Amino acid sequence: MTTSFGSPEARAFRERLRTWLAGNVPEAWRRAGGEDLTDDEVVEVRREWDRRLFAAGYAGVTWPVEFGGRGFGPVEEYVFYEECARAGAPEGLGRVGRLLAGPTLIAHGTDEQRARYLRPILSGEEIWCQGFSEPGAGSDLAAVRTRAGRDGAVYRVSGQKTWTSFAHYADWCLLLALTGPAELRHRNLSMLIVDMHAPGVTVRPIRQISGRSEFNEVFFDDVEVPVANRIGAEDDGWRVAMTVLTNERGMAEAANRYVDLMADSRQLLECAGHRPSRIGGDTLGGVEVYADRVEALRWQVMRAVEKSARGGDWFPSMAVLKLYWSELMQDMASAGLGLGCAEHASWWRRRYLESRATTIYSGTSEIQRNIIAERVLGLPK
Amino acid sequence: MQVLPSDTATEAGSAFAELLADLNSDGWRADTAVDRLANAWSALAAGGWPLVGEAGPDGDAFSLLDVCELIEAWGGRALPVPFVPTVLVRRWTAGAAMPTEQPLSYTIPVGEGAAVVPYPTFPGTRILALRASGSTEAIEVPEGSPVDDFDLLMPVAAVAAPEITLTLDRVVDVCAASLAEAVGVAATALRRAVAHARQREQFGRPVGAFQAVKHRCANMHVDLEIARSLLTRLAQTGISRESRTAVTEGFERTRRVVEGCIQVHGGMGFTWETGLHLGLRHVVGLAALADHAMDGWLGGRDDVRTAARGR
Ligand SMILES: Cc1cc2nc3c(=O)[nH]c(=O)nc-3n(C[C@H](O)[C@H](O)[C@H](O)COP(=O)(O)OP(=O)(O)OC[C@H]3O[C@@H](n4cnc5c(N)ncnc54)[C@H](O)[C@@H]3O)c2cc1C
Repeated sequence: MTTSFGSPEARAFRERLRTWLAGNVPEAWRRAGGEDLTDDEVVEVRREWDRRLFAAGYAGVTWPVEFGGRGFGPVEEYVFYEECARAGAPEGLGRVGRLLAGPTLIAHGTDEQRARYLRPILSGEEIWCQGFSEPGAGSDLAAVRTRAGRDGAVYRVSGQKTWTSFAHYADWCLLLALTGPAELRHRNLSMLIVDMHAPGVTVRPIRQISGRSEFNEVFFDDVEVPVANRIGAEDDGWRVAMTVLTNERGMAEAANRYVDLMADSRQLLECAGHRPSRIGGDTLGGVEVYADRVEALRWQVMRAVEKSARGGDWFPSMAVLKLYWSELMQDMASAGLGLGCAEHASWWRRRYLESRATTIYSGTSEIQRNIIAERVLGLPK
Repeated sequence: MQVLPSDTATEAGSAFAELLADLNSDGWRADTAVDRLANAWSALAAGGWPLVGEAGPDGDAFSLLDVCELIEAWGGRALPVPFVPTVLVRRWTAGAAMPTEQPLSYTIPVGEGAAVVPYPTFPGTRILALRASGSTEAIEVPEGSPVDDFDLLMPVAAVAAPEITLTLDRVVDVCAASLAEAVGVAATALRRAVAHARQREQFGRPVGAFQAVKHRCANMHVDLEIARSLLTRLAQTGISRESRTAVTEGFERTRRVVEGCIQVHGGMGFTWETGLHLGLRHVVGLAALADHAMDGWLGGRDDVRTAARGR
């Protein structure tokens, strides 16, 4: 584990990774990001990617060595995500397991749970989904109402989750459910491991504004969950959820977005070269500023990562990064739309529609600003 | 100079809005069955609404600003039927003895003998190629032509249409009508945002009680108001090379309002089902249509590029 991007270890790690990625990212994916593959082919590429990561020892970069990981710190973690994104690597189906479920089990699980679940997460054999958000519990996640009633050695789970990605492939769900009285805010939730193949689980796709369906609603109708599948103490699920949600959350996303945005800024310049008319003036209409804004994101992440690697708190960086890249992405998509480049019009339109979600998921921009104002700057609530 | 729509136009706008609310109770709709759209069209025609841009028997006509008042009402509850093109074509051709129920559309030149046609596939639509000579001629959209339906409320097709033109006053009409429709979309978006913010509770209170949401809605209101003023200016003073950017800004403000509406809806706003994307797509589609009209008038892409670089 290193604490600096410039260290020989970090550079060596990057070099080895680059070589490995060059030989392993499937060609069809690298070219078009899976655009020209069928849904089944996409799933197969993503599963195969999980297996390759595992075989090469890249599945649990930051997991402790005793649990099958590499024990690396945030610097290598960031390098890993940035290089994967640069190489156009697919997103494995095992992502929620590796980033969320695994670390949760490592932090709060029992020895039996770790022995049972961790290895299949790393190997990509078992897919996880995250059952947190509900129709009535979005920004206010603590308002979760999916009920897990104790009935002897099992909980009986009923309720609805929403925006659950990977649910239709998932074997397991990391479920935040209500076990205590509704009034006891933050002290009434428990984190459960729910078998997605159990009777009473129904998955229904959500259609997004772009017309695609990448997320699901999941309905639980009297689903039996063994009490042994609870992670952490009963009614302590909020604390369990918070460790997951603050633990270097957003780094992978920021790294991916940095690479996406780099591509967008190049595309903007190209499109502006085709059609400067829409923006007027004798320049490229200002789209050249975006390359610098994108680069600022990279340095912002690297500063946050090094601080965190030296034992600093990651939390204050999280909201800054999320706000910055999400709003930048929307600005750039709007700029792309405004250029009216005939050749790339449909690409920018889709980007524009999809970018509407970036200021909503993983904590809306309003919530991020509240966090900065209240919890970073200390303004009164 | 007229700054506000006439009282007659304002009253007509309210009456029209009521009819539209009956026709289409849920805001914008794209996934409407063909017979429902046909019925909606018949109801519009029966009320004489396609004629609003024409001069009456004694020669008095609504001003462009007045017509825009009605088109704004339309934008609030738009359906994928060629109401606005019909109004424009009838205004340009003084009806030309066409039955009120005839749906009409027209050609916007985009250079190299090509034209963009809004609503190319609405059943029974007569598409008029507006020739440089001043004559008009009905053309067909060839079977199987690709239709761009990104804007589900206003599909467009590119067709071959040589020797067509759009005079400057028609460019102004197209831009003003499109911006008026976008303003109508934005007004509905703001209304829906406010309604949602009042009713959706998180943290034990309506999200509209949070200042961040209040300020967003307030900004949306300002954007909508300024867009209306830009529309008024456009309808009254037309377009010049220099004021083209004001038209673009008007569309950008309406787009920001719809974006804000989605943000206020949170995750729900991002679903197909909630339907806010129809409004978002429509303001984008309308802005693109106006851009085509302005591009064509400025002399086509290459000239525009040279002009822009030469400044
Ligand atoms: C594409 C997409 C992917 C998603 N993926 C996941 C996922 O993988 N896992 C998961 O659990 N969830 C996921 N979500 C859900 C997401 O986390 C929620 O949508 C988000 O937290 C907002 O909640 P909401 O939709 O209920 O909106 P609401 O909370 O109802 O918010 C509505 C509006 O009110 C504002 N608001 C709410 N509270 C406050 C406040 N206190 N102060 C100021 N403004 C406030 C919001 O900012 C927003 O503008 C996803 C959502 C989307 C759109």
